[in-house]
Amino acid sequence: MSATSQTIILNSSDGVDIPVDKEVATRSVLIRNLLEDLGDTGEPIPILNVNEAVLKKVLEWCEQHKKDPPATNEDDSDSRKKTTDIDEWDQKFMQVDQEMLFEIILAANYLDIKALLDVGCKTVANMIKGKSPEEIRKTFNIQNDFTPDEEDQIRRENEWAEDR
Amino acid sequence: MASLLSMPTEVLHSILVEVDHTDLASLSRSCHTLHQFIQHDALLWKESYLAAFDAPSRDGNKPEPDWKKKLQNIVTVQKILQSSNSEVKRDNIHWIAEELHDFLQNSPYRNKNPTSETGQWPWNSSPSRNVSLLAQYFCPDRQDNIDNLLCGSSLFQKCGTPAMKPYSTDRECQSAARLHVLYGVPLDLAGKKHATHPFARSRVYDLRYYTEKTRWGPFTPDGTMNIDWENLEATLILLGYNFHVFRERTNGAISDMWNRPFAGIALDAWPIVKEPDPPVEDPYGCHGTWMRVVCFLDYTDLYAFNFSDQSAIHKDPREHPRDALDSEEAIRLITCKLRVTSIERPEPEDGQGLPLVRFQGDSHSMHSGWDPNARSRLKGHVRLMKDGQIRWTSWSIFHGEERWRSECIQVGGIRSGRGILGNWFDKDFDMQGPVGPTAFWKVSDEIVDDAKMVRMPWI
Repeated sequence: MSATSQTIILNSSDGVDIPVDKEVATRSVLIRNLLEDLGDTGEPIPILNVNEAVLKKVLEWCEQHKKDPPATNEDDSDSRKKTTDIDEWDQKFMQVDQEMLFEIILAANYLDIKALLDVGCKTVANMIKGKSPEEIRKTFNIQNDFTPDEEDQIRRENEWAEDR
Repeated sequence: MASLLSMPTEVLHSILVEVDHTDLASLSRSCHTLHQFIQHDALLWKESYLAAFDAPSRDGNKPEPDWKKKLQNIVTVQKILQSSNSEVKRDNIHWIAEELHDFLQNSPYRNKNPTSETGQWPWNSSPSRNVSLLAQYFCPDRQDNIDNLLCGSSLFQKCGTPAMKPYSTDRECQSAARLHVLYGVPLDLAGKKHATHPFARSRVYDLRYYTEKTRWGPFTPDGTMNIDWENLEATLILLGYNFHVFRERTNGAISDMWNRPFAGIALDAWPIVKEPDPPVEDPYGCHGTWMRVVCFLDYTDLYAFNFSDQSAIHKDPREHPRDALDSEEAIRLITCKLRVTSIERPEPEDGQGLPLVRFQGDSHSMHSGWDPNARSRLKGHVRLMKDGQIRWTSWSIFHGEERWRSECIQVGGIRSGRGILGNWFDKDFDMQGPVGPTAFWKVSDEIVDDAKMVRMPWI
């Protein structure tokens, strides 16, 4: 009885039921709030915006991090320290194709899993680090839509960051 | 399909906040969407600034700063400091001095009252993030920054290494001197060939600078009341040198003074002390215990230096600087206990944002009792100048009679830890002197009694 009550079922956007430990699923603030509001009815919980592949991936991360202390509410952005350090397991976890990476970020945002969203954003920031505009375009498959005049003007606008 | 450009606004913002701030420039240049997004996301610039630098001290009445401009400017300064190109440094000296002044002045740092056992002067003890960051660009590995940005006033015409060259315009010389004063560690070199202190001494004791136009203080000789940073630079070097000599002779009886690059510039290092009587706030933080250092030349030396060559007396001192002066000076360390006596409306020629504050107190020489000037009274006033600088004028009173007057400028922001720097002279403006350099810095918010004073960690 106690063992099964710890398992809940999530229903992905493409209609697949995924059983998962409650402790793991409630890394998501969205799911935690839903369970609190609706009570544990045993019914599958529909996760409208996340498909099976992405949801499984996200739950894999939640499983790994289920014992993490809850995020501290550090809202003093004035003294926030920037760190692009990502722990080793997370780095490996994020070695996925770019579409999956952005899907994970979207899912973390939707499911309200702040720590996973942070890891995702930092991963993307690391992909940008030190790259030229052209390299950034290549990396993220972005079209250069500036006219030569605009390009020149925007280059001058951004001279502040250039090496002297 | 999920991609960088398809991210919703709040997610894109979260990604960009994690990006190194210099990468924001490359991202802006990659396409219209990112360019528009980055240029108009004001919060992004604020968060990026605060992630890298100290949060500026905020006056609740002032509008939010332009974070984008603030970040871009300080990054440009950093890029120039990182560069090995001397030209780009020298071309921008004036702008760099302005930016760094603002950057340092707004690095919040509150003095702890002197209970620490570190043996450092209170304002020296824990530098802010901005100060540490900047100091690394002026470490011994970056002699090029020291040479080009700190050693460029007219003082370096005759001293310093060949890499230390004065700038060609007055304005640039002033900016280099100003940076040297902010840096705060007097740059003196060993050996007769390069030493700066004989030239600093020659500048400070040159009576031709003490005129009505300079108000006998650290102001430029053109009568504009602009600060003469070259004068303050010479004062810094000279006091630093004399202080070192004194420390050596007394086997370090007192902590080293000006040894931390860029320390003590931040405004508001000392809190505002509310006086019960009168019950008003003194914004300059006069109340408390101060250390003062005064140096002077033997009067015969001063006279000979200034009046032996009659032909030079009426020449412009800037065009015809006097020779190096090697005479030894005397130094006095003095404790001053100051109390506010009145807070008045600013005078018409002052900056109108702050009051005129008058103070009085006792000063007490820390040297032996044989010094006839050991005990005296001190009175003076502080005012905001039109250009935002803070000017301190004081008089030393012996046996009820005013004798010496001093004119000093606050180094750094209001209530900065570094204190004030300037010169002293005869209260009747005697054309034949004497004169000399002086500095004051606060050591406690409280009026500390003498017995307690000698137990302070730096003495």
